[in-house]
Amino acid sequence: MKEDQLYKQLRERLNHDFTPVKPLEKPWKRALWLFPISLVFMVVTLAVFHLRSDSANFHPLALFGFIFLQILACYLALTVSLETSIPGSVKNPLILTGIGLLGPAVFCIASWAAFHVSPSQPLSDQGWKTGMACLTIIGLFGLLALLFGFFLVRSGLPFRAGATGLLIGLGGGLTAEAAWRLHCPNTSWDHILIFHGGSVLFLLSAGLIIGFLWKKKVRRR
Amino acid sequence: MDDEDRLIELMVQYQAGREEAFEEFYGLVKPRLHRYLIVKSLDRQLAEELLQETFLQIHRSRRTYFPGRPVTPWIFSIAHHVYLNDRRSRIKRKTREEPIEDHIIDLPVPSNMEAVVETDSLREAMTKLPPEQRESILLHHYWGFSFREIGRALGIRTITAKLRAHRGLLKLREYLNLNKVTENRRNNN
Repeated sequence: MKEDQLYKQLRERLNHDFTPVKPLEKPWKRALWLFPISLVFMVVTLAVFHLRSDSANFHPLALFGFIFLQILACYLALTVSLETSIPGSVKNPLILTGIGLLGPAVFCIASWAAFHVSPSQPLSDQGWKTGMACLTIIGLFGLLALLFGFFLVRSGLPFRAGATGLLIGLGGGLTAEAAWRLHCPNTSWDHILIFHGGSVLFLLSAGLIIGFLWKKKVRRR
Repeated sequence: MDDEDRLIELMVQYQAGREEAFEEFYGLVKPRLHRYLIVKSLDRQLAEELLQETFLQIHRSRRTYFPGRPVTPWIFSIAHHVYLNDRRSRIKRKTREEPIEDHIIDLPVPSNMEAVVETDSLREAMTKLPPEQRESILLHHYWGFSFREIGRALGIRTITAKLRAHRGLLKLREYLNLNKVTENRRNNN
């Protein structure tokens, strides 16, 4: 072994860095952090912006149930994205797509149900103003969740960096949207699609870009 | 204790910072990884460069190994990733020529097939297979991976891994039969 040229070079490059490392927690365990984060988003929403004005129209179980379901779908997306960065656990594109579609599906059903129970008027001039507020706040909350997702994934390898980024962006965006729905009483489709959907799309793109930057960084190491 | 159990033990010690464990781990893993990278790249020199890069990547990502899980799919997955990264950057830089088949020296050959066909013709036939089919055949029949493990290492579906190996075997059979026919003709003439 001592005469193996490759081994010698390797030892030189490793520079005798054999500091003990702690194995990562399983992806499903690390992704559990999403729940306290979404709880913080909800508490901030309720404390700063108050509960939505039409909350009396909803059964509390339905209101919180859909929010919980959406966050659960985001948790799955985050778990799978973390798993995809672990060697030997890379998921195939079909599973990634299936898990990725769960969140948007819950989002659409929740939006449809909210519109059905408490329909609101289509966009007006005032609507654009409140819409921009929704876009900004969901975007900010989502960005925090997105950065946190990449913090969790940083020790892995970017096997499918694009998909990992998209799933983290989707998870972050839909978590923020779910929390913000506690405040936003606007259920019209144009508002939901343009502002809520728009901010999720922005976070998806941000996730994709950060994913590729991460891949580039790992390749340069 | 079989090799995989020993590798699991060594990997745990390697994570705990024991240099001797790395040395033994290296000795056990190097020949397999080297052969795998030759299979992937069909270029012995490139395979050696990639081997070093793979070990560096293994070292940097050693936290991502979950104690108790099989080590081999984990390391092969890293080697696959290193190979893909290298291929992408080579395509970008266009600095290295595509390997030519004359460089192929010692492609591994599944032992169950060796008994039926002559090793050299089998090796030659293997080099003519599409890379992904050759990879699936060797991972399953030579290194003993289950198709599920191949899927998880390469990021493909289990059924895709199975199909690749199956199609590869069909092509091998076809090619070897053709070879036999040509040889017989040559002998008759």
